[in-house]
Amino acid sequence: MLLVLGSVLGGLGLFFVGLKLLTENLKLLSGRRLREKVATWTRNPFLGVLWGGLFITITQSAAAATFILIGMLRAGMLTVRQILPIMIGVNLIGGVIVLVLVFDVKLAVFLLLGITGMIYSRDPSGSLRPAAGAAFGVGMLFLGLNTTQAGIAPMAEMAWFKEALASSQGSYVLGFLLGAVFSFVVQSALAVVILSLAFLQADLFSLEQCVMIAYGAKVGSSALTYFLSNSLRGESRQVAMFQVTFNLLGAVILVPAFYFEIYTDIPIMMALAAQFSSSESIQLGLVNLMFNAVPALLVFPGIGLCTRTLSRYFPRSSEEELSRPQYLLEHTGDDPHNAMELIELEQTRLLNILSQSFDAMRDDLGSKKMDSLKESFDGLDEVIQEAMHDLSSHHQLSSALYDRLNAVLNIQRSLATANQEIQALSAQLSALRGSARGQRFARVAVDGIDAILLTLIDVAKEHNEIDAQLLGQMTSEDGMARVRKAYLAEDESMDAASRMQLLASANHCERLIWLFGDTGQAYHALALSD
Amino acid sequence: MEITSEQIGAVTVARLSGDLDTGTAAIAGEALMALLDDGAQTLLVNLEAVGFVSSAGLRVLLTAAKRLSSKLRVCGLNETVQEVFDISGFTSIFDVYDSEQLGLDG
Repeated sequence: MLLVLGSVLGGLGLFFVGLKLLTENLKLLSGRRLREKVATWTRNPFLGVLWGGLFITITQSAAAATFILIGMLRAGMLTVRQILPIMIGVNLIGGVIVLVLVFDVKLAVFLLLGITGMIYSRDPSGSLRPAAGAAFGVGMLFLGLNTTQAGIAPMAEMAWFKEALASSQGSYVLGFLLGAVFSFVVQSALAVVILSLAFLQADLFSLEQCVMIAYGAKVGSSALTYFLSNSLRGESRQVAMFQVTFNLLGAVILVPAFYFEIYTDIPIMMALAAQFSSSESIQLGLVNLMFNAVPALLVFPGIGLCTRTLSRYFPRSSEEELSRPQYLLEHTGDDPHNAMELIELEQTRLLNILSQSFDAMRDDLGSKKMDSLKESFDGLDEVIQEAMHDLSSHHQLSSALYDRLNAVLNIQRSLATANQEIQALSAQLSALRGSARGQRFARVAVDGIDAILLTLIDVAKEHNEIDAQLLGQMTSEDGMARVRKAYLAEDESMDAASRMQLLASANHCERLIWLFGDTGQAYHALALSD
Repeated sequence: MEITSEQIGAVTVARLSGDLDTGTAAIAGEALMALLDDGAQTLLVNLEAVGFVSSAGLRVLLTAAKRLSSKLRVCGLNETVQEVFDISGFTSIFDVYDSEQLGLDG
């Protein structure tokens, strides 16, 4: 039993690392060109449904397909509205797959991991690394599911499991519960439905019981998706909750219909399936397909309403709002001056993210919040970098505009460096907070540097001469060095490790002060050139 | 946060007590602006009874300083507040005095 638990835990670990690898590498891949292509491929909801079919064919698991799509959403490759038809396809075509041969993906996963792992670690140019990394992430995700699945397999031979099977004989409710639990554990409703086909063929269960196992499997898959998405927020949560609701909707309609049909003899789903084939296996496959088709038919015409409802109940997280461009939308227009202005406006939003990072440090919100803010910064930074690249490559710029672009590019680099420094400072300050002295240093450092950043934001947004002068004065002081020396010289209660952390923190602060001063000068020079 | 003020010769003294942070910055800002609106030319902010000044608090002082023709005077900084002033470079923007009397003397 310990091995079963270990396999489940190990499998989940591989699953989550796989998802992280997939997301990070898709981000590196998702340049504007690729995003535009994906947008074109999924613009038509019917095409989206077909893409969903491809996803479920490859993944064999609606939960896995959901998380791959969440990875693409977080990488900015797809929107929620584009994903919902794909999710419908995942469910609908997943039902069709039961009717055809099921592939064993294990060999494919090993081949994928082997090939992409070698490319990822040995690609000398590095150009293939993002694609190889994303594919390796998919491989790890499946290896995780497979490890859990393989670890669970011996359960079928365990006495209590066999007893559970035997005790469910004749009971539809137990069949439903068995399907739900088994689907949650093996992480694939599809696998459980296929297993129920095997049960049916082996005369272990009746057709009606197998139908309920299949229905239970869908609900179990939803429970799994709900469980795995518990830490997600905003749009990622919207996608997960769509999948959860989709299956629950099917269960709410079809489970009562099943009982109604069984106890009243009024022909509904089972009778309809029997019209198509006398084979009970095919009938099971068809009823399973109907479970997916009914909510699909109900939801598909109202994709827009679904998107709005999900967005109301699971609004975008503050990090998602921050990382979403407000000025640089898909088409910035043909006027390079206008495009330049939009780039500059978007760039000042990066300063807001830096400011929120200081708020997070002040409240000691931890590395998770800082990671989210870094993700927001990186997402917006990438959009701005692409817009600057597009501006220089698609327009004939005047010499003055090239100068301006160069200045904005330098500011962009400074802000990216500042973001890295803030992340590093946050990690050092978290470690320092263990002692009262360290806590005090963290407090004064965060508020001191934040005051400089807020003045820089004034310079960037207001283009005010007085603010620029004040910022110059603030950043030309050597006050940080005075504080550092005082802490290191006077306090003998700090151990060697804390002193090193304090020294490192002070270094990050000094670099930030210099960077903010330098960036302020660059902003002021830009304002003067207007 | 409690704020009292007194006119001593040509200097308007604002005495603040409590922490000057996000929660109290708005109140302090309004009080200082009211003094400037009433015609204060030389402002001395006494921070003797202030335990901590956050970035929001520093901005309040900075906003007041921008409205003055002469440098804003502050006094009575405790060790922690002094460190925030040092790191943020505010010691170069304001005239900082150890006591209210020294601040009044200029």
